[in-house]
Amino acid sequence: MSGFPWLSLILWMPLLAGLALIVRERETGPSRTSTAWWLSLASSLVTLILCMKAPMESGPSLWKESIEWIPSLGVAYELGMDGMGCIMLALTALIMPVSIAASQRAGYNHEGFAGCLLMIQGTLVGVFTAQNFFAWFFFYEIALVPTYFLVRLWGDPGREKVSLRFFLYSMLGSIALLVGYLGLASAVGSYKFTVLAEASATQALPEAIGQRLAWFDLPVKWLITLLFALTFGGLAIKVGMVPVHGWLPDTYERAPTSVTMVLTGLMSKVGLVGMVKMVIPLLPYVPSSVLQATLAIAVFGLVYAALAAMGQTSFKRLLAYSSINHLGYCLIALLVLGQPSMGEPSMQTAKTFALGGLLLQMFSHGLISAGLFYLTHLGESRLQKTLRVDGPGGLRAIMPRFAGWMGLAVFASIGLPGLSGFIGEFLIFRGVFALSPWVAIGSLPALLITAIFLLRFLQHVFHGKSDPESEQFSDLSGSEMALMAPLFILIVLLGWFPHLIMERINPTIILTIERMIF
Amino acid sequence: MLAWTVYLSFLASLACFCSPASRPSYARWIALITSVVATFLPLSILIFKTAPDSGAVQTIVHLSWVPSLGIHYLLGYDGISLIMVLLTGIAAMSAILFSWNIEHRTGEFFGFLMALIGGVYGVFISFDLFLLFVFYEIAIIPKYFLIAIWGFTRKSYGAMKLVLYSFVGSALALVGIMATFVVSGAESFALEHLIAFPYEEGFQRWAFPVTFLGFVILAGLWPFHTWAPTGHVAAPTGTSMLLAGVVMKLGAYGALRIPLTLFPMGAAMWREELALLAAVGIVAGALVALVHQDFKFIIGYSSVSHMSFVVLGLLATTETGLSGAVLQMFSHGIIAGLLFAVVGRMVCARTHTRDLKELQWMTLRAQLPFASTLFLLAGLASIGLPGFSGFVAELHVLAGVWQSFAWLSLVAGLGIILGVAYTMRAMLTVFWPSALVTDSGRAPILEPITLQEKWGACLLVVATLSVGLYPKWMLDWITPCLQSPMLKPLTEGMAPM
Amino acid sequence: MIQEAIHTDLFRLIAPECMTVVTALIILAVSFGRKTTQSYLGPLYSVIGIIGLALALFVSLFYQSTGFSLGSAFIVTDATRWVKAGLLLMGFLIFWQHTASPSHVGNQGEFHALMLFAIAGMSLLIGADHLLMIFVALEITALSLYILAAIDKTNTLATRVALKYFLIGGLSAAFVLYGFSLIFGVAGTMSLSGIAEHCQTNENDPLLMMGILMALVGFGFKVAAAPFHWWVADVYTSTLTPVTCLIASTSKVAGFFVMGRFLWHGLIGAQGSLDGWEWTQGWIPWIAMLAVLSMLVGNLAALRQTKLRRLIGFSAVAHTGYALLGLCSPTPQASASIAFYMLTYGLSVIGLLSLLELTQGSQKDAENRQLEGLWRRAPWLAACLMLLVLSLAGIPPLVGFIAKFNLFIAALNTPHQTLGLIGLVVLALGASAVSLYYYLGVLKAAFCQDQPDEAMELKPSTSQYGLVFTCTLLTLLFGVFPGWLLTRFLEAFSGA
Repeated sequence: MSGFPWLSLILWMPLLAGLALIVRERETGPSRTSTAWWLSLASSLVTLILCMKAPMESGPSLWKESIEWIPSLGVAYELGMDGMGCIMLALTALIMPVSIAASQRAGYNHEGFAGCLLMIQGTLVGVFTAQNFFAWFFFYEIALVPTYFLVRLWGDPGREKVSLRFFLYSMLGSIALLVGYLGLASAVGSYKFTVLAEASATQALPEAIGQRLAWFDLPVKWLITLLFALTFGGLAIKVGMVPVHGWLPDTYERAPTSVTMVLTGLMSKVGLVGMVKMVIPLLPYVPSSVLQATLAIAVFGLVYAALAAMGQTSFKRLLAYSSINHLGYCLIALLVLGQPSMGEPSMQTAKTFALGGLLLQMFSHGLISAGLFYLTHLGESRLQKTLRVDGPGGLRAIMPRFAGWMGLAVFASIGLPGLSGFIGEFLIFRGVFALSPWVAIGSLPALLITAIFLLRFLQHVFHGKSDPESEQFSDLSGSEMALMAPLFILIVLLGWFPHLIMERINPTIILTIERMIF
Repeated sequence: MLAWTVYLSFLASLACFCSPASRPSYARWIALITSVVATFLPLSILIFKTAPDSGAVQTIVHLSWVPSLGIHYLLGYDGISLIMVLLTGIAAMSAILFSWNIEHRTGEFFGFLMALIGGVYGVFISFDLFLLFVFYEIAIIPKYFLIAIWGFTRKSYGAMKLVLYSFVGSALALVGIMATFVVSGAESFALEHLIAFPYEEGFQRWAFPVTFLGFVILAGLWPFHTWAPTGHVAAPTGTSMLLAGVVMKLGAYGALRIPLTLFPMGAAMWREELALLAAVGIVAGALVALVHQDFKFIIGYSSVSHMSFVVLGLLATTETGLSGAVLQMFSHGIIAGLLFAVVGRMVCARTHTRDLKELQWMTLRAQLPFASTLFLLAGLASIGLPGFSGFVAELHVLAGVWQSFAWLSLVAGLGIILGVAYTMRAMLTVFWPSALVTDSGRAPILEPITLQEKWGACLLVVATLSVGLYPKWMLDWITPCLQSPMLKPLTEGMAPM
Repeated sequence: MIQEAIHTDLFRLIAPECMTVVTALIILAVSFGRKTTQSYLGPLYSVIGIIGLALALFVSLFYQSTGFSLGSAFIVTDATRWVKAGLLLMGFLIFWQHTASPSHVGNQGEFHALMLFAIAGMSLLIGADHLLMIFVALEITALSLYILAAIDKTNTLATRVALKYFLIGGLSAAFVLYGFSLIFGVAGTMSLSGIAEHCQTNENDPLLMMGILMALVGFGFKVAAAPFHWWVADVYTSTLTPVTCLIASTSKVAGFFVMGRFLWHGLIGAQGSLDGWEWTQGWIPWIAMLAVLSMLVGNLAALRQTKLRRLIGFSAVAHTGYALLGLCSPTPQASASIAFYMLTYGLSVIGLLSLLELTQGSQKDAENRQLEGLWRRAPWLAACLMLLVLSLAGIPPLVGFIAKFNLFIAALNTPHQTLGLIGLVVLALGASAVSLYYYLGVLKAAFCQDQPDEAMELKPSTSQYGLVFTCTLLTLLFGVFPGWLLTRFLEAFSGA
């Protein structure tokens, strides 16, 4: 199986097919299965097979491809699958077909819509398998264009401003990241992630920065802070960290729901993946004051998001803020990895937990939020209007199946043990508490608040006052349930058998933490 | 063989001038065929020959011209020249295609255009400083007439301003060239001869800034850039494509070939101050584009901003920075051509207005879908989206700037972000206005896009994509030149950190 | 080798001048007693004149040998032969111009004869090596030109202008004479070589400086340097075209040559330098000042002109300024470059003035507007106009550019380089940039505007076309292939 460029296949096939569909720009009939969906499904199946076949070794050595691209910068078109990439690819494979199918049901029959989604699928594969910065950035940026158009052309009213804001924020983040990483790469001398990690591990990084980057004799610490600000800040915009989250709630709300599934399920993870690859090597050297300040902001952010979610009436917005909150846990897990541990085994273990929790939470949150938004979309398609906390409720009696699935998803989001959300959060808190107790304590209220608003919503929707119109809503059909079944099955499965995922990512985690001995 | 690009262009110019006024298509076809043949010449070298590892200059013609002054008729090319000649060819072809609709004094229009193109070709393949200067000056006069006769708003003023600034810049550069000649013993103007002379530090201290400034005035360095937006807006579309696309690159190319090659010590002394000007130019151009209401002026100021990128890359003087500068020269040449083509010919010539607010009402996307898609592509390319040549170029420049003046990379990044902002603003206002606006029914009926325009546009898009997706083919030619003995003192002379 | 020639060889030395004078006398003889209104006479005289000049040119180029005579008052060297040849060529062209577009002067015979006398005088001026000889030649030229300026009796403005010209000219001649006498008094000899000896062996005498300065007044008038240029604009406007050509081209060539000889050959010890601008130590600072003033005044005044001939007049002052800059440098390259500059400038100006004659006819104070629509009315003429004007502006690949370039290089290549000279070159470049503005203004009218309804019909004859084309062709030819001519000039001046 080696030798055949599988990764390129699952990357370029959807990308080019999507482009072709966009150019063709035809309306398809309201049939359930369209060309785009089949293509996406095919690509996803191949992806899943690749993921399963991946043996448990560490390092990005699987299905590596490398073509020289920009020799003067030493940049090659390099793809490869490591542990983290593997699970993210699996996530992509699971979510994308659901999203495309959902869009078709919602009446977005334009081929351009599905084409954009296909393109996004291709670029996501690229981002998750890139082995150097340029390949990563290339696909990262390209993904912005179809996303923009999805929101701009098919979103809810008010979409012009919202889509523009999304694009500008994203570009701002991209450029900041570009400028920052170019500096890092100039210091290290290469754009490969592995080289950066090596430089960090051997403590060569600060010296390199000090030597190679010209600055008016300013201390290395300031340079490192600047680079950290640029790279972390740029990616934080994508993840949706407060205070640079301004684009997120509106975009999630106004975008077509199938697009939001992708946005929250996959694209926010892109930012986190980037952080793991680019910011973690820098973390050990960031001055502790800066680190603590960032941690403080992150903690504040996630609590704020939770509180904000509580105040929302539209379910989509509520979920958007909740998403910011959940990813906030990932952020604090990432940042505490920068705490000095001096090689003490317990600290190292704590970091392992934190990182493991982060990765697991990424996967799990992807599944859960995709599921949540899919259900929201289904609900809205019945109600013909947005699902609101203060809107028509009492759906349990009318649509029992819907209520059931929704309940499952909500509980997973709260972090109920037995569902995948719990494991991730548990590991994160375990790790964070050992490394930086006040951060953990500060974040605890958010858990509580999340539980409160989600349960409140659940209570209203299922047992609240119902609208007389709601009587004739049909419940979920078999095919609709079949589409999201894989997601929910995994959510439950991972809740009981998290080692299915952990064994894939453990090598990566161990390698990363080992490198951070200092 | 490359010298035929020059000769053919001048011959075509003469032929166009003599073509009968009653048959304008003769002139058009002469111009087009000549430019196609002329583009084929560098293309054939690129395709059929592999890039030499040495990056040395290949001589085409070497004759003694004015012995009493040590002037030689010396034409040659290396990788960088070749790329620029290719750019000129592509830009010329599309400019001619986009000027197909000129009816008034067609023969003379194409005559002047071909003369301009011939002069530009000459600059890129001259390796004798006097000869380079001669071609540089030859390119100035046709610009005046092209703008003053076939131009638009304030054409006389715009033409005169453009020409005078160019001339003053070239006069400054001439001072530097003459001084170099005299100081090196007054024997020869050939570049290879002049490089060999060790210029002392005191001389380089003033010779470098004078010569460099002289050339980059034509490249549109802030604060000597005001001629560019005025002139480009006043010019007819084909001319502005060439002006923004290629002629501004003459300044940057001249700056690379002459002051940067001859005076590396001087470059090291003045780098930071000049780089600051370039950085200001990036942001200043972008800021003005952000608030301007005139579509064509927005593109004009964006050209100023992008050209400052080139100058910044040149001043970074590392191999990466210089590669970035050359790449950006090519990339921006193509992209500026695209932008001016859409804005000038496709939109403004049909709608007879350049005001953003008025253009909103014209349902341009529905009536001119080709133009709107094209502007989308051009806009994305201009922003620096990966996949287009601008991304690769900006990468190199940023990397080079990090190596030389880290703090300016932030300014450059700011410039890119502003670029995103103004491009999006223009694109959205004109082509994707909100539904409220377009339903008013006030839109005039617009003529469809002609076949020539489509060909011209596709040419440019293919060019930018080819570099954006697979930059290696261009870099293989550029990198050896930067490593050659000619430029080594510059790239190595950069103060180590 | 320059030898003392015996009197029988005298004829050979001044053969060109003699031939010119004889031709003039022939014309006078032919015209004596005839009615002046017969139309064939004009062309007849012109033809005679052309033949005479052609013979003189031929002789000058091929049959002369170097030498000097009349007690070293008159000298023939390679340099003088080349410059004289150029002068005679220009005379030839001027006569051609007159045959092509005859002016309706009362007395054709006198007119032609006077032109020939003027040319002879300039020719003598070039060969002069003695103060008295210089003065005599100056006067021959000047008097002829005064009369020629007034010869069009139908134009009352011309008469007034000619009187002004005469008075200013006479005043400057007085300055020259007085200056020469002072120099004679100090140096003890009138021969330039003798004066040179004196200057090199003696200290700089204030009286000598006085003399030099006074002489410079006169020379300044001759070459139209500021601040002695006030006559230029009016004279250029109101004289007949052949006369304007004479003043603009040949007179300046001769004037510069003799000035150069006077200063660098005769006063070589007393030049001082631009180092520190010592006004009393030598004459270079004064020349430099004349150059600066001419460049500034000429260009700035030309900017505001709308009348074409006035514009050409002021631009002539500016060109004088550029050439004067060359006089500040002692090298033979500098002298050669001034000669090349003035000769090629003269060629371009003759072409330009003939072209204007065609388009404006007898309206001497025609404005730029008269040229409007030339591109449509006479496209070939318009093309020639563009090339000639751009050559004056100094745009490659025309000869004006290479001439300027050569001049600047020669100036910069001086041993004992001074900052002042570099500054002059930079100023000259800046002034050229300014001049482009008004030159483009002329071209704008011709190319960018459409013809007004009342524009006159243009039907130039073959002869007229031929002249303009020849001048343009020479401008282009020497611009693209200047090497041969430049090398010849350099050799000629280096040998002297």
